[in-house]
Amino acid sequence: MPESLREHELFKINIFKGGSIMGQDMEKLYEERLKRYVTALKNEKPDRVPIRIFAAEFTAKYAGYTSQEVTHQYNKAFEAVRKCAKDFDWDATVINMVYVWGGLVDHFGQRYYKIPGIELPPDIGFQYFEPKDEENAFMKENEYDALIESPTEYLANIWMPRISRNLVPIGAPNTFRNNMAWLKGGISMMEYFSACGEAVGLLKSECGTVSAIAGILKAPFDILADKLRGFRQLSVDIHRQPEKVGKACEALMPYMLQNAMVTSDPAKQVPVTVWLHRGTMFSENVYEKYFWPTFKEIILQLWKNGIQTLWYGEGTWGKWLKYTAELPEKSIIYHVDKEDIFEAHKQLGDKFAISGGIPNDLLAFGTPQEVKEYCKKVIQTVGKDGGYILDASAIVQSDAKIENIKAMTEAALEYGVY
Amino acid sequence: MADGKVKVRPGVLIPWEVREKEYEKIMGDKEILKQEWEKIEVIANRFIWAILTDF
Repeated sequence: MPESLREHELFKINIFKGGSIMGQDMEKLYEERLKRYVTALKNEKPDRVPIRIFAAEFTAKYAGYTSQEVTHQYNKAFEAVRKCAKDFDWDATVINMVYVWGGLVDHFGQRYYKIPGIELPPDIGFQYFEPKDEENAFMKENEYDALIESPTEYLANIWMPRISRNLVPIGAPNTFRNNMAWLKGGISMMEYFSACGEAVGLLKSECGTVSAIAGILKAPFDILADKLRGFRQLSVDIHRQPEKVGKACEALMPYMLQNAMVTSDPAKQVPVTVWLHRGTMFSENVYEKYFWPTFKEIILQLWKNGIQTLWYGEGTWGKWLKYTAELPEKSIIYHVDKEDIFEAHKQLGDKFAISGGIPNDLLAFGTPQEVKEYCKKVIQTVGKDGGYILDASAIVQSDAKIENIKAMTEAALEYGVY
Repeated sequence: MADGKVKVRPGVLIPWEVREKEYEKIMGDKEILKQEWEKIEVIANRFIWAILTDF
């Protein structure tokens, strides 16, 4: 079986397409940026602080597209990212942070998204809606045993028919719509992933910019707390059936690890990203008992295979720094959202590279001078000895001012050279 | 479990061991069949998990 999906022949065709048409100057620029980025990821000192922006609807605003256009027409999303990467001199970025393609959602029929241009105005970013009660939960309280017994079969047979408006549950009369949703869902995903491979090549050949991440990971507890049981329902489960919550995390662990492994960078240069959602919303006891053990094991296994994890801690993860510090040196890159980046650096900076920490409200409401000053402070303290990657705290939405994103680049070029 | 026989492991939907037993006979190279079977398995499995983790 292929070690990685990116080595799969169906994907390989497109992934390296862009590389063959690169000019020498662009190739040199790309190699410089790759070296800069990878050096910082390893918590070492590159020639300059790398600029690696995770930007979603901001790219649409800058390129003159609506949110609907970049959500439904992924080539416009890729193009908008390339325009930003070129104009703002980004060393690395993600080919498309508007990660939900509306076409796939339309064909497969996920119920949990509201899509711009359909349920939302064309200029609003897509939204995730979670069931608020047991009656509407996508995984029911008495289904833990089925999930634990065989996670993949549980997803395919029970969970997916619930989250899709097109699928019928096992045992119900089959429908044409059901069959077509499976067919078109699969085809849609193949088409999108194939286009992503091509977009990585174009980002390299047209902009000399590195595709910043490869691979996806969710912590088992997190995935239980959002798309499976949901936050409210899991909050009840940890009191009513705590053992099953623990066993479900253990059962999900090897599957989440495998999913991360097959989507990771075969060259092992850029990290798998874990998008951390709900762990900080529970008590330390819950974190220590249910969240941390299986999540830690996945990170250790990835690291054993030479793969770094980008710890994208949405919200404030600072209260768990003592747990994070248990991880092996360089095994993660700690991305700062709302917590104190200076404190995070003080506690973790010797072991791990740090990224982010430039507040999104500053990018939305501040002046370019304020943004530059804040970036300067972060670069000169957190980035003093290397191991810092300049980025916003959270994914950049359309509220960020264009002049403030430009100011981030200026700060890196003015204050970030070692 | 797939067909009530073999547990669905990470990265697999219908394991090769299950499919292999379904052939009445294999007159040629079994490895060719196995490779092609598993090549699509990995993508189809990714579809299921990508809906959960990505989309």
